[in-house]
Order: sequence, then C-alpha cells, then structure tokens
Amino acid sequence: MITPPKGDYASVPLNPAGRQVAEGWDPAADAAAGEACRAFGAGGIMRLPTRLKIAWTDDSTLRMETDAGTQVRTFHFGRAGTADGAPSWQGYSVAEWLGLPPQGNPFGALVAPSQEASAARGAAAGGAPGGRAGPSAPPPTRGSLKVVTTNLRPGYLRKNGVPYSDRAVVTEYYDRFSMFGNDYLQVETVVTDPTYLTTPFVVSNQFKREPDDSKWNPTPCSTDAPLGTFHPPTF
Amino acid sequence: MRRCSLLSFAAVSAAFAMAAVAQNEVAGDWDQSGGGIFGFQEEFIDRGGGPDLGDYAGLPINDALRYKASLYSPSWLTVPEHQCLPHPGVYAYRSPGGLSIVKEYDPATQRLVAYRFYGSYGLARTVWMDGRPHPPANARHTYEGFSTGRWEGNRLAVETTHLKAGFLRRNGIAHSDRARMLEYWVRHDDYLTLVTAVDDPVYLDEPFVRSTDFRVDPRPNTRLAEFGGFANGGDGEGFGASDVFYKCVPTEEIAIERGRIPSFMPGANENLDMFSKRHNIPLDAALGGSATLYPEFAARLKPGSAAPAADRSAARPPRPTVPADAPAAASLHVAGQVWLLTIGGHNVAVQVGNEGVLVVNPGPEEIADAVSAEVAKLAPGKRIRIIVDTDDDIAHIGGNAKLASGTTPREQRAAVFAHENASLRIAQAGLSDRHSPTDTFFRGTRELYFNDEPIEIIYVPAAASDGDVLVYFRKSDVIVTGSVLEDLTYPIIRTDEGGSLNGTLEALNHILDLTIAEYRAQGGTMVIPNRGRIYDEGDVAEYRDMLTIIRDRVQDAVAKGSTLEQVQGARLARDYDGRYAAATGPASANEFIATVYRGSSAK
Repeated sequence: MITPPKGDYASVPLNPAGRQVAEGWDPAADAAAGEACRAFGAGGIMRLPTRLKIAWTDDSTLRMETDAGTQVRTFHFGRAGTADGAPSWQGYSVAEWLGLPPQGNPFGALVAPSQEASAARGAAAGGAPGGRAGPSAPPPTRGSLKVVTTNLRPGYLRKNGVPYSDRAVVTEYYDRFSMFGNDYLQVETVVTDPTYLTTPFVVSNQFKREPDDSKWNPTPCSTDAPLGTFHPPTF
Repeated sequence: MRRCSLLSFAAVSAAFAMAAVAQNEVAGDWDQSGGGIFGFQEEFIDRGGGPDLGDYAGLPINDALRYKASLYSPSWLTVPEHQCLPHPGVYAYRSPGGLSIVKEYDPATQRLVAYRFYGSYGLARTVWMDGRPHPPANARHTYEGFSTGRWEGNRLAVETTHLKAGFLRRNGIAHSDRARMLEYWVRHDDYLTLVTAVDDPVYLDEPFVRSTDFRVDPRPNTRLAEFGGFANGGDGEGFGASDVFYKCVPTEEIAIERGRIPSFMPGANENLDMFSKRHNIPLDAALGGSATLYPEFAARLKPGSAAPAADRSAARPPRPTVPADAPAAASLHVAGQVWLLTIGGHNVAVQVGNEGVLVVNPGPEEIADAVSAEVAKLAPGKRIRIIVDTDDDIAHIGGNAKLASGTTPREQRAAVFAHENASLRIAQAGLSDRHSPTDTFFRGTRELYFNDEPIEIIYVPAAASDGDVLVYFRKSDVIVTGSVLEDLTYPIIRTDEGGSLNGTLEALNHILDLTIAEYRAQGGTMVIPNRGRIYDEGDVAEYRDMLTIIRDRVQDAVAKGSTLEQVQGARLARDYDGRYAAATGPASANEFIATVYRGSSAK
C-alpha cells in the first residue's frame, strides 16, 4: 500500500539490466516525463490498492476498470491479439475460459454477461459483484479466466521502479471463491520479460466483492516517493 | 426456478471435472514459484527472515490480538514445550521449501481416499476425500488440523477444523484453537496457487485471506527442502542441502527457571514501533486492523496526511467462541483403555478392561443414568469397580452413589478414591454416606493396578482447592486433570477451600512434567481436562502460558500499586478473555482477575 524503498526488488527475478533500471528509478523524472502511469500498467496494476469494476461490453468483450490510476482494461474473447496498435499501459488482452463452453458463459465463471462486479483490493484482500445477480447470489465456482496481455508500454512491477519492458507478456488467471460468506476474486499474475527478468515473475492477489460502488474513488496516476529506506533482508 | 439453475450447474460442473483432470490435478511435486529454496517471489522479508515486531499492517486483527501480539516476546520459543513447534497448518505453505502432494487410494475399492501433503516446514498433512465427517468438538486438536476436501469445478476446496492455537505470522500474530481455515488449491498450466481464508472468532474481525504460488517441479528424485542444511552437515547454502530427517528434542537453551514464560509486561515493549519507524508510517497503520486492508487507507499513509487514524470502532463485536455442537452424550476414544464420555457438558473419563470399569468423576447425579448407559455400550456386561473423585465438587461426585452401587443390592459397591481433604468436604456438605469416598489418602501418590495398567492418583496441593488429584493412566498414557485444567474457561480457583493460583500453576507444570509429546510438540500423552476437548502437551502448555502471563501482568500491576479496580479496568487479560472468560461467575473476566489479584497481593 506504500511505495517500497528504492532498490527493494527482493524476490523479483531481475537480471543485471533490470537491476540497473530499478536502481536508477526517479519518481520525479517519471512525473515530469508524463510517465506517471508506469506503475499502473497491466504488469503491476493488480498489485496496487485499487477497486475494480468489471462489466461485459458485449458477448465477447469484458471491461475491467480500476479506480487507482483510472485505468481501463479490455479482455477480448475469441480472437487473437492484434499487435499493430500503439503500445499502451494496458496493452492488448486476449481472454479465454478454462473449463467452460467456448461461447457465452451460462454458468458464470467470473461474471455473467451484463452482470457487473465491483471489487476492492487492499494490502492483502480485495472485491464483490452487485449487478443483476445481487449480493446474495452464490459465486460461480467452476472454471478460470485466462488473460494474456501483450503490446505493453514499459512499466513497473512495483511502484518503486522495478521494471518490465515492452517485450513483457502478462498472463493472468482469474478465479472466484466463496469463503466464510464472502465472495473473492483471485488473480494470479505471471510476467515474462526477456529484457529484464531471468525467470517468470509470479504473484497472486485477492479482491473482495462489495455490495455496491459507493467506495469507488477514481484517482489519476501518481508517482510517490518511498517513505522509508531499504534494509536488505538478512537471515 | 433458482433450484433448477443450481441443478443445471452441478451437472455440467461434474461433466467438466471429468473432462479436464489433467488441467485440475494438484498431485505432484511443486517448487517455489521462482524455483528452489527461498524461491518465492513476494513478501520476501515476511516469509524469509521474518517480519518486524509491530508489523501487523494489512491484517484484520481485533484489539485482543493487537494487545497479545504487542506483548509477544520471541524468547517464548525458548520454553521447552515450544522449542519443537511446527509451522501450523495455517502457515505451513508460507515456508520456503518445496511441496509434494500424493494421492492415496483404497486398495480394495480403488477410490480416492485422501491427498497427503509433504514438505515445506509443516507437518505431513492429510486431506480426506472420502466424505468422512469432521470429528466432534471434544476430539483432540493438532497443529495441522483435520481437513476434508472436495472438488468444486477445477479447484480443490479444503476445510480444516480442530486446529491447535498457532500463528498467522511469526511476530506474535496468533490464532486461537477456535480458528477454522478454508482453502482452494487451483492449478493453472504449470502453476499451483493456494488461497487460504482463516476465520477466528477470538482474534480476527474478518477472515484473513492470502495466497501462495508454486510451480511444477519436474526434477526426479528431488529431496523436499525441509530441515537440515546448516545443522546436519549441509553446505549452509540451502536448507535442503542435507538430511531432511528431523527429530526435535527440547533442550535447555538458556537458563530459564521452570514455569517462567517470557512475555513483555504491558507498556514495556520498546520495539513495538520498529516497523512503523523503519517505514515512516503511522503506528496505528502498522498495528493493523480491518481498515488497513482496503484502498482508502492508502490516504492515511501519505506524508502529512490529515486522514483519520484507523477506525477500530467499526470492529465487529465479540462472537461466540464455544463450539455449538454439544450432543447430549458422546463417547470418544482417547488412548489405550481410556475413553472420554461427554454428557451434558460434563467430562467423565472411563477406563475399560478385563477386570471391569474405572470411572474418574462420575459427574452430577442427574447424568448418572446416562453415564451408566454409555459405560454399558463401551463395556457390555462389565461392572464399575473403581471410581476416582478428583475433588469434592458436586458436579464431579454427584453420581458416586448411583454408579458405585451396581445394578442389584447384592453387588459389591465400587471403591471410591479421593484425597482426604475432598472426603472431609464431602462429609461437611451433608451428603449421604453413599456419596462418600471409601478410600482416601493424605499426601503424595496413591497407586493402583487395574485392568493390567498402573494408575497413579497424584495429589496436587493448594491447586483449584486443597483436595485436588490428577489421575495418570501410565499404560494408556492419559492424564485426567479434574478442576486444575479447564478447556472452556479460566480455572475456577476456590480460594475459600484452600485453592490458589500458584498451586494451580504448579499442578499444570506437574502435568507438563508427566506429558511427553510424540512429535513436534504434539501427540503422545493425552490429557482430559475438566470440561471441553481432549488436550495434549501443546495444549496444556498454552493454558499454562495463559495463566502464567496473566498472573505476571497482575503481579506487575500490584507491584506498581494498582488497586483491584484499576487492574480490572486495565483489562490486563483482554487477549485471553475472548477465549476463556465465562459470561458470569468465578471464571468471568472480572471475577477471575479479582482472584488473581488477591493471590498476587497475598504473596
């Protein structure tokens, strides 16, 4: 929830080039260069404290909004990605259901068509759908949604300048769970990047479903200086 | 209409589960997501060297746990009963090692019976898949808990109950033995993600949710990176570098007096702000709570923020912590020849063998017929030959007359053993002779040999009263404690009958002298408390710790000149009240503190 100290890339499999970029992070320079959204790209946005709104645009397009950084992600079903557009923070995302019929979503894996979901993420938790099914509807507990995102602008895995490049591929797996009466959205994120990473970078996060969007609070991208200094871990 | 929809969903879900086994299967060898020991890729400090003291940010802890954690001393781990603690089930997979999941089939039916989980720092764990129910509430608890699983679409759902008190984080963030855990294991391509939610009515304001990632380990003959490394001739580069065999034996690590439990006194932990200072965040943010989980709290962390401190008033009120399932009568096998009958909330211990039946604490008179009926089920045709009263409490001895009498007037009455002081008090209470013990003793231990088993009746002076005894079945390796150990509440110490706090603690420490844990601080000697579930050494130590820590806090306050009202107002036991305080009576929060205060003042 806070910006980590400069140089804190512990456990991120950076190669020497990646470490060099991380060590040179300058949040003021990013802001001045119009690059304040680097930490809000597809490779890092799901780790930030944000709420989500998820809705179907049409039968083959799912739209995910974040209030942190006011970003919009678009998941395209049933067709291959197009890499001919200009790279962007959110890139181009191709989605497929794992373990569900290829057309439609009659059993609801993530959100049913036209059903909206809003979700919140904090340091360790996150979101919840309102919409047609209502807050008391049991969450679908079947398959997973796989999303592969390419054509990205260079961004940050962490808000303190830990980089991924324009060659990065972000693969995400979304699942919904019901635990102790709450409905959770889980995303596992796998980032591969031949420019800055030695191996895939794997993290997972949860969002907790909320009854409505009353806490939705869009804020622009920002760069924040870290509050503390980095203390290398010792054992 | 809704019912139809659910039925349609279930049918399709089952079809899918059969069609995509390869995608779903969680069995196999798994490595940390980044590969190798300490190869996890998030929360490196938390999962590696360990979190700072006072780092509770993002945890939905309540005030009771915040208080408990703030007084936690890492030296607690030097106490002999805690030296071999394993990573509990709610934490085990946060460890840096690999993981192996094995399927076990019934050789006769060829059906899946269970998944066995090995590796990391946790204990080997079983997730039962054969539809068996969870044990009754009074069954023993373990650090790994009792787990059952089922497939929900493409994920394995696991429910775990019967956990011992353990920890969520290695800096004093504990969970109680009332905690439950739900897990989902989901495989995506070559990655396995574990999502866990822990709900604890004693210490959490809402479920604590987190996830852990693994990747396929394709190496054959891999050694699970468990213990070893530095200690057993390894190269020190990795914990998996040497023999994984690990048999922990407690030793005297430091010169610590018997029964001393390291814990900070209230207000004395000078390192509580270690985390907040290091990261320049407000102390109230570092000290966690539900508010710190959600995005809006980020504003509070901005330098110079005028946002209000974490709102702890929104925390939910205390929830009932006593298990709801309390059948009228239930029998549980404890160990060897000993059974626990729980009837109307009373624990009655029964030893069954060739010579007949021995009963410890028959219970009040109104349950005597139910006790007889349960004994008849356990030991058809056998007579009750011996009764032991652990004290003079009418809730223990009320059934003496009926149970000792036998079924016909011509039968020899059972022998009833008790300490002389208990016998005197029974006589003073004006009960009939048929309630009175037939055999008493004054000091030390009364020895019996019954049902091919040596039995010790051990006097513990000035404990809950001046007439308490323990009953130790040496062959079955079971101890029945009577009033010196409660499970459901604080102990009820009858100071007007010669009981004392320090005597009760001495009795608990004596029980710990007798118990021997089987492996990793659990199992081995079983202990039957006055009420509630079956204990072992780890549980007794938890109860002993609680009582010692509360005594030490009250003594500290007394030494500083605090009055009883001030001590009660300070709520010095608020980290334990949610687990042990009764609603009313001598085990209620205020009355128990008053008992401790009077005992401390008299010292």
